[in-house]
Amino acid sequence: MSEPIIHAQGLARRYGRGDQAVQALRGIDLTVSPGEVFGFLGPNGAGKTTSIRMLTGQLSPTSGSARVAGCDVVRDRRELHRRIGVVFDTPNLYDQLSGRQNLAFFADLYRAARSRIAPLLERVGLTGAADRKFKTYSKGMKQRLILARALLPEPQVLFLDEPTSGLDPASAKSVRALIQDVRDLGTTVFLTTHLMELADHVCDRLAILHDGRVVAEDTVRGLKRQGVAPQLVVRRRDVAEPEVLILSAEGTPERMAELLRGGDVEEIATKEPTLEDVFLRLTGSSLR
Amino acid sequence: MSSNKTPATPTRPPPGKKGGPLGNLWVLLRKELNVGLRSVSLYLLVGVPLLVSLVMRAILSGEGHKPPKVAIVGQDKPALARIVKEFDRAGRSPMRLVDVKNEPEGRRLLAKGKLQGLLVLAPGFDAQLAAGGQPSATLYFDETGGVSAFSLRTVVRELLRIQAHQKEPARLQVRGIRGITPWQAMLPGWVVMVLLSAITMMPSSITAERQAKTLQAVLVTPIRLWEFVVGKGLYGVAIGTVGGIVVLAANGSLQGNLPLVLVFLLLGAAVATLIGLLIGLLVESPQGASGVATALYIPLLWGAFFSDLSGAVGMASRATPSYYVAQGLNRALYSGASFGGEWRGLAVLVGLCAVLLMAAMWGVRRAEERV
Repeated sequence: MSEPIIHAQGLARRYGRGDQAVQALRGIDLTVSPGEVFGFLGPNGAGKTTSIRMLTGQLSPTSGSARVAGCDVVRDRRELHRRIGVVFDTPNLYDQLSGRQNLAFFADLYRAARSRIAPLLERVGLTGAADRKFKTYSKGMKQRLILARALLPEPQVLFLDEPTSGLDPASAKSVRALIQDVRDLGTTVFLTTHLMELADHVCDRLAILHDGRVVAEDTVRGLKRQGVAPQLVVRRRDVAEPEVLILSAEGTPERMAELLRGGDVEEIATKEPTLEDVFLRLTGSSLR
Repeated sequence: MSSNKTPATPTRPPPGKKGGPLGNLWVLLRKELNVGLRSVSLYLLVGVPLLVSLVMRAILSGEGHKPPKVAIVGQDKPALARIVKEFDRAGRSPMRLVDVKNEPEGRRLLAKGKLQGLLVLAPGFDAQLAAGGQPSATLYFDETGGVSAFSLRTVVRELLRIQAHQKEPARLQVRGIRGITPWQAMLPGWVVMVLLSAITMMPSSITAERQAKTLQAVLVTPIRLWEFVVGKGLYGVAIGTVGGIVVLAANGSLQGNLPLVLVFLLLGAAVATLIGLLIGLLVESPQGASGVATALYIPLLWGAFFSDLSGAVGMASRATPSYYVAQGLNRALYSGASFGGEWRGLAVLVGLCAVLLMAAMWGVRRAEERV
């Protein structure tokens, strides 16, 4: 197995002191392999943004350590910033500058060739709007330009903090496609989200974060299978409520045969557990 | 899962092209100029002091100055009027005399704005004055007329003194030993005012970056903290220095040891800019930052104008960086001071810049952590 590109051990962060202290992250361990799309799924306040800020060197951990792309996130900040791209949860570019000027400014800071700007604008579908001021962009366009900025240094790891939050379905779909595009080029993607659809569609592996702790970590499929078995939903004529049978439960084949013999079965469907179900089972609370 | 894919290799800068920290400073300065030069407030901050300096220069040099119109009532012989006319002939008229028949007419003209002052002398005024007495007189002015009663009183009192002695005690002229005008001597203080504009300009620039979170975006690039502070600060330094040069040039005072003048301008602008940056980094709300900047701006100005006062105000004024900038500029402009002769002021300002730079770097890291 190749060397992990993200490796965190006991990463913890406390805000404030004394009685006012809030433990945002309670010691998480993480390992992400190169080329993976790794998701941090959790509700608001679970510690997702704190994690991403520590892994990108913006925030020092109160304890624990992390290495990203071969760099210690505290000691090698500058080298780390050469090797990663970050998409923030807010459209943080300069309103007064055009899309192209914004990218040119950041390209210069990353020491990336300016010749990368035009292909990136093309890739995020903003060539036509490149010379318009950033403040005139729609939310979806802003998010795509921020993604283009994060790709300027050709990062080894791309961090995305709630990349589709607040976007309309079409824009969210377009951002999802871009993330998959980035993954296909071999870039590791680390994203945080509270949206199951995004996690379900793009992540190879997920960690569920709750109250500053990782409560589960697996592939999306593996997580869905953790303790929540697939179910059969049987709808019968003249019966309002469908009957739900756990596929692997004892007695299910007999009950199924009985129902079929009754001759009033209208519909039989399988129900895969959703990440929401998994989250609910693991934490006792909803993602939303 | 695709863990066997090869990560992309990061782009490295082309050798020799924008490779050093100077490259980042230029990148940040260019962006600041690109954003800042579109802001009206920048032109107001530099333009207003420039305009006011030109107006002040005109006022203090007497250009366009109209002496107030004054009428005198109750004179037996026109002794006072004769003195005014003598001043008038010498081209130094302190007032213009207007004839009125009596006090009611004078008060009516005063109320209509046709006069700025009405001097009513008691009966036997001239005789009493000549005999060494102290006759009474009343100087009326229109409270809504816009002419200061204090300056009018000073002029009239001076004229009465002259009348009492029948001649001007001395022809006093005020001149600098280096042949500069009193206004030129005040100009370094005015320049400090322009330099200090960075204290009010920089906090809003930083708080805007913090609110829009562009500060975060810049700080996840491979930029060093000092590059960020200096690059961002160069904008304030450039604006302040150019503003200072323009004010000096517009008032005909760009003279003396010009390299030293430039160094004092740069150091003054740097101190003000770094203080402004620090305010923006430490105070989170734009309103709070603006309030702190205004509260600091005024006492810092003292150093430029009140340093020769005695007591606490004088001491506090001499403890400000603006005192060293104003004094240094004054000597560099008008007495051709050398770098060696100004080492003390230069050392204080350079030391202060270094301390403020370190504090600002700490402030940037603090602001980054507190997003």
